[in-house]
Amino acid sequence: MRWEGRAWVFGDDVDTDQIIPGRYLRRVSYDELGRYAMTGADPEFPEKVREGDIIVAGRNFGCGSSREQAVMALQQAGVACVVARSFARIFYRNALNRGLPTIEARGDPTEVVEDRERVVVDLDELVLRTGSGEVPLREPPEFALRAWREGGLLELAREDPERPPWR
Amino acid sequence: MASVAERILSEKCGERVEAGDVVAIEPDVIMLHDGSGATALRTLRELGTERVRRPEKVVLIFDHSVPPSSVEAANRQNELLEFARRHGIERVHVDEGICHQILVEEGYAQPGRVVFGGDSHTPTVGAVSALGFGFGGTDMAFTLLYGELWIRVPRTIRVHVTGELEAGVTAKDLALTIVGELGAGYADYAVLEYTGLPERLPTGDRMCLCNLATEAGAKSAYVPPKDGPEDLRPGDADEVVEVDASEVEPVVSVPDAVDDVRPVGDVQGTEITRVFVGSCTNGRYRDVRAFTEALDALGGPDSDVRVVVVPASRRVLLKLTRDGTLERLLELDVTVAPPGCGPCLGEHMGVLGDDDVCVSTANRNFPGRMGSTEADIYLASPLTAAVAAALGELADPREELPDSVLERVG
Ligand code: SF4
Repeated sequence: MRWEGRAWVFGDDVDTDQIIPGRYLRRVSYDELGRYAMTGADPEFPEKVREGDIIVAGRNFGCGSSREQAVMALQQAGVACVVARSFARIFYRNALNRGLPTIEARGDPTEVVEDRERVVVDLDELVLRTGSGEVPLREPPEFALRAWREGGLLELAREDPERPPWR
Repeated sequence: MASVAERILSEKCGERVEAGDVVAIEPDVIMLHDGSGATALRTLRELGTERVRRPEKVVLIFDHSVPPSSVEAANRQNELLEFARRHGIERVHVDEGICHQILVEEGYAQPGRVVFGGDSHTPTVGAVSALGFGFGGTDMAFTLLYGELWIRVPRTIRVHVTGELEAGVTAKDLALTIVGELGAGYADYAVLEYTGLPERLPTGDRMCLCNLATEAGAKSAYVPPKDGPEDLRPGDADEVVEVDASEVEPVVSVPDAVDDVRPVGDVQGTEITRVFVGSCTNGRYRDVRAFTEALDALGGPDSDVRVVVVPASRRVLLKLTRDGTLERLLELDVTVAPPGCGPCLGEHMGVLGDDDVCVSTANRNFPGRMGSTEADIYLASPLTAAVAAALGELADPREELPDSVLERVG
């Protein structure tokens, strides 16, 4: 798998309240979440982001509550994938279930990638490339790759509810 | 030698597995509450199925919005009850207490058992040497549907606690100090294994420690059983962190991060308007008892402070009733709400307004957690909460409480 797009760079410990502030959870319907994506960190983000853009972050991306709306908001905003030094595990799982690729970098990608610069995330070569440098990526588990290709474990389960999608 | 987590999960898999392996696990207990249960049910319906593979393993606990806080909550709960009836789910606990408390009280969590729960604080059951893992709604729907779920076998970070806690310093202070030292994401994907002093603490204090492991990012938590079988005793750890309990002071997590932990003395004098005693962190009998004795010793709450106590379970409330603590609380003008999560998640039973400053014995102080995003939340021990309630401001319990009280309850 391979993505090319503009990078939006965030720091460490981006919690789910930054990804989708709690006050929108009950006020906004499920398909309008994208209009508020990342507004806890950058209120202008929904206006700036374009289909296919890539989020680059430090450690522990998606920590805090277990709300799946965080993943939905990023997807609706057009975010193609998230590359971070590490992910909070419940966010990682929610993303896998809903088909948002979350890729771990070896080392801190925010030290290499500039905000708004064009980057290529190449999972065949396991590297994120920028104009000036590279960040090596960790190899995602096989079933995660399959899930991302098909649109998430939920999608796989919908096609065949008899078989666990990780089997 | 493998770690305890590796051994327990290997046993479940029927083959030797190691940290980092991705494996499918059939848990012994599948726990859902009114919140995660509703999401799981919706996801099942999205999948066009309603199968529950192992109804006998499911425990359904209503604790988050109890008694129902809105029409929507009531409808969701009724629907879940109907779902449980249709599928022969018999272990249903309505309004009896907080899910993590019930898992331990009812003995669903047992040494060596694996609990998958639709709640991020499921690691709390590590207090009784069970391995608890928390998941989101979709993963719990999968667990209902297949009776199994994939997980990555976690590595183990051992927190070895030496020394003893000084009078007036509680397990909550120790737990917050550890989270402060490790930081919010430090234990991501790892099991926090507590050895040394924690093995000798009462169950409630062990629950408090394991509960706050979640706030250091831990995937699970574990305290080895004191006289347990050899295979549940600590094995290898990938990393060992040492903490000296005798150096721990009464601390608070200051707004807005759980890992922003400071000695109470540093924020001494901060005025407060609310006190909440309860939650899966500190809503147990000994917590409420210590709070009450301390508050009583100081003559009851300041007239400008509203105090809400929410026992973690009906059993806790019953015990507090039988020994007269409940009566004392009411005489001290404290509001006692029915067992459950109470205002911990900002839904009802004492939600905070914009100008409120709350001292809470719970586990999260993110903006908006207990209501208004403007409100400030300080996380503290029941003793520190009692002192704050009495003075209307934060202060070190060691300085304010008489030695007789400190020795008895701290
Ligand atoms: S008491 Fe608070 S932290 Fe514990 S389960 Fe309830 S809402 Fe969650």
